Amino acid sequence: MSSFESRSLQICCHEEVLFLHPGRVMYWPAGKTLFAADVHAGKEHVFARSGIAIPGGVSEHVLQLLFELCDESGAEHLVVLGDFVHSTPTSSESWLFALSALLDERPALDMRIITGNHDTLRAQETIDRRIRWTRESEILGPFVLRHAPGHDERGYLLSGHLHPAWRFSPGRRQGIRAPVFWFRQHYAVLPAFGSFTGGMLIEPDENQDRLYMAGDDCVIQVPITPARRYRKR
Amino acid sequence: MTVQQAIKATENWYQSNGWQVFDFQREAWGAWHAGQSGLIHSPTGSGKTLAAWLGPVQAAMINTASNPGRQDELDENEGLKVLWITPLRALASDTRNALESASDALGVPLTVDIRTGDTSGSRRTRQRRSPPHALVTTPESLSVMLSYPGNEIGLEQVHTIIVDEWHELLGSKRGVQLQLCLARLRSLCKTLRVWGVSATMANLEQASEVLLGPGRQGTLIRGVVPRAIQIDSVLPGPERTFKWSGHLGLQLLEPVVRAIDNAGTTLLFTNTRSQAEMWFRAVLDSRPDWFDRIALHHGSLDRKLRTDIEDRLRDGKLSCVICTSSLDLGVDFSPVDQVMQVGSPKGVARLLQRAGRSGHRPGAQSRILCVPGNVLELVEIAAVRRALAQGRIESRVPPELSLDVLSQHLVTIAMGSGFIEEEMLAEVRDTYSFRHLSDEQWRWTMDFIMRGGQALQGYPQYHKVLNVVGRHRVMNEQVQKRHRMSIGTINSDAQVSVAFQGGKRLGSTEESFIARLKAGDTFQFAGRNLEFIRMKDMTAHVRKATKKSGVVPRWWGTHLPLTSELSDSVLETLHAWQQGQADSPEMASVDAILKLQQRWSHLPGPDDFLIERIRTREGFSLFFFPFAGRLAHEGMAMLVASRLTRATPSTFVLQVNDYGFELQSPEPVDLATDDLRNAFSTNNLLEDILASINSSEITKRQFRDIARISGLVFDGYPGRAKTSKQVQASSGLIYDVLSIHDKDNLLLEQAHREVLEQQLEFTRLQTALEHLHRREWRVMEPERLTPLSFPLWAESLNSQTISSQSFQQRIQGMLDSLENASTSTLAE
Repeated sequence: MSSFESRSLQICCHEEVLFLHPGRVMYWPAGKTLFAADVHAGKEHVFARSGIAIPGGVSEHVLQLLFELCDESGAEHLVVLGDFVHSTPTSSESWLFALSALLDERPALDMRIITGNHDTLRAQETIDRRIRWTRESEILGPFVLRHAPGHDERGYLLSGHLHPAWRFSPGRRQGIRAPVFWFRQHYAVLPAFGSFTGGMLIEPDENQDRLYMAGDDCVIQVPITPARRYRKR
Repeated sequence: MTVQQAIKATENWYQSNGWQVFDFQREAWGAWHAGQSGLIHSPTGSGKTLAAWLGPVQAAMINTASNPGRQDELDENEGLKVLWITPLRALASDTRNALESASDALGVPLTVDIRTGDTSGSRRTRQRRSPPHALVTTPESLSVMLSYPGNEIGLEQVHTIIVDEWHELLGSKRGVQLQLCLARLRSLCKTLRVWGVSATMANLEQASEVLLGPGRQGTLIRGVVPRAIQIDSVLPGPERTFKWSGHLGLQLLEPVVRAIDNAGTTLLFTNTRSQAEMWFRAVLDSRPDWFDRIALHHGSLDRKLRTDIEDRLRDGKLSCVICTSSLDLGVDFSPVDQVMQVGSPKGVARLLQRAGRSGHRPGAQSRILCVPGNVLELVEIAAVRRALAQGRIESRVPPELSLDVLSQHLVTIAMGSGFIEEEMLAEVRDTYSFRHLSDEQWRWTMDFIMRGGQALQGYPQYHKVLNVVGRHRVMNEQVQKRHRMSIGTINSDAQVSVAFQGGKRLGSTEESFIARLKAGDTFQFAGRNLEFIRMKDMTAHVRKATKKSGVVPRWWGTHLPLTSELSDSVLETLHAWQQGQADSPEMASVDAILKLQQRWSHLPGPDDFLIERIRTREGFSLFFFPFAGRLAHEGMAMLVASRLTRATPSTFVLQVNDYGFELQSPEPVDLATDDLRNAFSTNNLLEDILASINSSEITKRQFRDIARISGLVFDGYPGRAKTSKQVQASSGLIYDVLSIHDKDNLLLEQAHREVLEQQLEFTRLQTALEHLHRREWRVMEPERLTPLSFPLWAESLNSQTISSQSFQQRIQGMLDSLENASTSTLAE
């Protein structure tokens, strides 16, 4: 077992084995494919353009992590489930060069992006041409890949877009909030990969959904207890 | 006309109204005519306004008399002469009326105008074309004026600045902002008198120096001697002493309603907006026939609703207003017959100020009726009385070296006249808060505004402030627009308007509360039961609800700590009770419960330190009672918890109140007294506490304000929330990004410093720790929760967790406890 697999949680979904990794990626060994969603590369530059002082280098760091996880998992394909960029980059943004360099080091890797709402056409033209773009959705084995979650007759949908997070709090005072892999009846939503992205609290179905929480050292399935939506005082 | 004659004319006017000139007013006018600056301090409603205002009016009187017939031409009276700074824009129009009617009555019709965030564009244009004689404004609006080239209104003509309610501004960043603006005006105006008007506080000389600039000792003018204050309490019957030890309940509703009934007009103060909502509902439920005679007033209600309530109170149409600190200040607030305070008074000065709202007639006694929320608050009431008798009252401490406020101010001035670096540095160092600004801090701040610090070095086109032939200026219009919108230092969370479908606006509440509501949910707001329909464009649309709801929004930033003056006095009061020397009605009514504490555990006094170890349903708890106030306890709890978790992997849930703090652990904590002593040690205090707060909630909360003030996050244009979404990020994320990629960012350091000083009262914490080691440690193991520990245990809001366990261990622990709970439920 690789170190990637030993740090991951192995689950079974539609008779396929999947590894959920605490680095907020999912590996599908049968298809030798690593999935990530919502990278939002270049977000700090959008801030910088507005005169808001966010340090550079955040995106380089995020991309570096993504490709390292690719190496560790042994994936031959890397699929980003939408929102790879935050906004159309200017051609001088440093992470574009970092991306090319990372691809140079891995000539055998096939990288695909399912277009998300942030991935403008101009963005697709600006970044490294070795990356293949899928406009709407594509079928991969038993799965349908799309940015936005929903029901698709063609198969079980893998998606992103929501940046799902959950607060697990079984008792008075104790609780922990973290991003989650959200598996529903017809689709799964992956947590956002980018480090400079927030999370959205989801409202899962107690009876049908499964939640896998991504902590800093492991992924754990947590029970869905009815959320206390507000506290009385 | 001479000064003497003008003062004589003023006295005649007083006499014709049947008033008497107070000595301090005469003193204040004299000092003004002598060209002095200083501070006038006196209790509320004692004529401070006229003491400060009539000096300039007399001057105008003299000028008019010596140039008869030239009133409409250019003369000495032309242009803006007096700036009146008020902390609340809600007070601006009352202030203006008071100032104008006084000058009218004295026969010098001076124009007095208002300039706040609410002032319309056309009115601002009018002010620019013909400036009024005096302008009532807020620190924020003054900043905005300085951000325009030529400052809009001719500020260089000003000869007098009067800062009203200076005690309200002094201890906050708004005060720092004002200090910087005053320094600017000192270099702008040739002759300038600056006068502060303030309530009583302990550090008056410092307050005056902060206002006038370091090294300048102004004239201190002491107003009328404070009236005697009578403090009474609503006492619970003996049957409920223990039952309500934890809860801040409505058990005393009946006597409160009776007291309202017996008085003409009542102001009922609560400590939080949520409590005000709850009490309003409860009073109305018990006396539905009062629906048009009682009202609710707090800072989150729509301005129109509030003004309406203030007017009705003034006209005597209301018999009771339930309010928060929103009614602490106010100018011509007609005195009420009765003032009540629900919950802890929190501080001596605060109770004094509130009591001052009653019985304004000269010579009349101020009286305040306190409604305790629990047993210990009864002790607090007795302790306030004790402190007042000994003449002890709190200080207001000005913040120092707030680089976020400085960055904002520098961009403001760069947008206005622009500045030359050396001159500006000298000007900034001529403020109290920045008198010790180091060269390094100055360089960093300049670098931050010019190049975005480390972060934006590669992007010359995004730099905010540019050096244009030696003068620093802002050229980018986008930057200018955005900066003007975010001037100010008042933190606000994303606020959501609450409005009926028809459009009538009720007020605002925090987005996080509304976010948890679903269509059809009901909640209580503005004293009404409301049903949530939908959220659209930052407005929560509601309708009247048919069913009742107990849910009340909670607002942030509403917990004041007990002041050290008061908490010391509490310990002394407890000690006196043990010596049989406390014979107030409050202490008599808590007699039984204090005896219970003595019997089950131990009752602390000034010379000992109580620790209780108790096993509860949830696990194992350690209760500590240093009596150092909520904020210092928060720091202490984090420090002790992180030191204990360092020794063995464990997780503690922290809970604090004004008397002590609780560390709760799912596993038994096996610690000897010596281990505990080490955890409270003052060795490596600063390093350890910095490490324990580094990534804590509290630091991120503090950073939120700093990020906004310094322009790191931008709240967006009003009504245009969507368009700026791409550059919206929570300050929490920015904090994380900066801590990884720009560790030397001084704003992070400032966040730590502010958490230490303001959020955790580090100095107080340090002193408290030193004191604890001199006290006798009493580690008790009561069988059940005691009167002191119960309130802490019952408090479940805002708890923090400190853990040295991994994510896996923590989740696993929670899963286990979930399992235990369900097994034991099954077993039952």
